[in-house]
Amino acid sequence: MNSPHLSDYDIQDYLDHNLNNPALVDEHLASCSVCREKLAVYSELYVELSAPAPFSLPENFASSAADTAFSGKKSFFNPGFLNVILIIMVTVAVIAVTQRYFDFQTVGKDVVDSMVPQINFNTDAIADNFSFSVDSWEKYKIWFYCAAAIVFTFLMENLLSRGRLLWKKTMMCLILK
Amino acid sequence: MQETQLIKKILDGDKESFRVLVDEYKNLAAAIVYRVVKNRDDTQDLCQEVFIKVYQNLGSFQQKSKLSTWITRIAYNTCFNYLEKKRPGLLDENSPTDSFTAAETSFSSPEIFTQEKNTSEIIQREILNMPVKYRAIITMYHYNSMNYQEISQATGLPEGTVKSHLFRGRQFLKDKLLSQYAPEEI
Repeated sequence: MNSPHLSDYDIQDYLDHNLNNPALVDEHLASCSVCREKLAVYSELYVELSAPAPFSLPENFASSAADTAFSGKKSFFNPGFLNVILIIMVTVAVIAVTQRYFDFQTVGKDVVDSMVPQINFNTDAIADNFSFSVDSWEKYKIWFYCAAAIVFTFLMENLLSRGRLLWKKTMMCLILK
Repeated sequence: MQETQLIKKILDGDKESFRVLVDEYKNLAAAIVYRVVKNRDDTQDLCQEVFIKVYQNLGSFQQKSKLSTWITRIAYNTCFNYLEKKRPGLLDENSPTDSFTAAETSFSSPEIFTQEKNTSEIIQREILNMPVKYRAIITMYHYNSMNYQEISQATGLPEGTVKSHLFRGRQFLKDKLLSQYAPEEI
């Protein structure tokens, strides 16, 4: 300590029990009335800061909050709910557009053939072997699309939620730093 | 009941366990919310919102931090969103104090101010006049007994920044206190 008196930092650290050697401060305080006065002000402040805020919630708050939470009444405009609706709409729109302009079976076969040309992958033969005809594809594709839409919806909702949290955290750090 | 058991019961749909959780942590949330938003009417609504969020997100709580820290984080974020919506720019770094609700707090009318003779009232009033970042962190540290690491987890601020805000906030209050009283009167 270069200064003849303890700094505000020293006193706060002393009261927070953050000092490695509080005995040095004790020794100084024993002989310095200025620092003792400063310590007294901070001590009073610490006591008051630990006192409850002059506000308390009603007695029945816990029951009321539990009732509300378990009633399942989520706000219709809850961001999560809106996200799900939005993602379902986008998914359906994407499926409708791709259904209209692409032949998935042909494209799929072309992709497989181009990826493994060296073994002369005969997709028609495989489809026949597994009784996977054009008719059965047409029959079941709606279920495939539904399953894909559900998985996609949950994945996107998860990503958006994480994105929202990350955005809030970043904004808070930028503003409060 | 241990935290883990309590959480498991709530996730299994036990409403009574959730009521116990709310009862346990309502004062913690109320302290943060009241000190940040400074408005009694909104505090209860925001606390309700905090615990609904706790219930809705409890399944994703990974217990890497204490439950109290996690709830404080939700309370802090909820207040932050509330303030941003109510007064955009209020949390601006350049505003020395956010004179957000001078008329909304019960302590701040000039008549009451002149009658204040007691240290406790002055401190409580000055806490509400501090910048929002200081009063949130001071409440977490002193009233909610959180350490630097827990406050850092709850606010997303580095520990060094937490410590610095805590120091400046207390120094601000000490100076305010000394400007009202001579040291020997305290």
